[in-house]
Amino acid sequence: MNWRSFPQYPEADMEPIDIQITLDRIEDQTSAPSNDPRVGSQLEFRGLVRAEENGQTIVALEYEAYLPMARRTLETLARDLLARHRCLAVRVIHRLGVVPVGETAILIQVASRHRQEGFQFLKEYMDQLKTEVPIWKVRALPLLPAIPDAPALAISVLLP
Amino acid sequence: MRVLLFAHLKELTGQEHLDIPSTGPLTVEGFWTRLLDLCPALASQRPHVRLARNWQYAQPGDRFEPTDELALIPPVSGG
Repeated sequence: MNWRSFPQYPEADMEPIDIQITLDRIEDQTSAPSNDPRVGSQLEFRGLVRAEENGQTIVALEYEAYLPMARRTLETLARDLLARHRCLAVRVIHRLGVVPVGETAILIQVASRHRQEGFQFLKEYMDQLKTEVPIWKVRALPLLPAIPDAPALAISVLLP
Repeated sequence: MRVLLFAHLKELTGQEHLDIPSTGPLTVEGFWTRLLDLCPALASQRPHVRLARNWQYAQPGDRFEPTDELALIPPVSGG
């Protein structure tokens, strides 16, 4: 589903689901309010890369996925939770590769009639994503102290 | 039967996948026996990984066919 081209009157059993797994910056994606007249709530969750990982100051995390299974699992979760919470549409984008601190690793947008359904959807989607979807943080890139006149050096730390 | 490896399992084995020579269907236990014969380094990981078969988590009673795509799924950490 293109968030901007949200269908105005989708059938009850055809909730739009848009799942994307990308190497590109999620910040470069645009989004627009839904024009579905049934929608009374549109919520957005962004998971950002924090500057701390396992007590260490970092500059980025690297993500890896088992792509076909990750996509299928993200979609199945979305379909199940849309139906359970009677939400109207969802868009999920997960970024892979190196994601710098402060940038978005995951974006979820959910449209529903009322805010409660959307909040429940977001909570359960993220809880299940964290246990079911085959995506991994594989490396943390630590912040290195600056050494004058030293050549550029990249070091990564494998995550358990 | 191809077995895909991800995250630290690739570092542990130095491989992105392993190929199990198989003459027929394998039970979950039979699969692990064949896999650990091929790559004993994975024995310590068995309690921590889940098996996926053709993009879905496998069930204890599953039988794996030679044409199935298997994957070892270590604890996930997306989001």
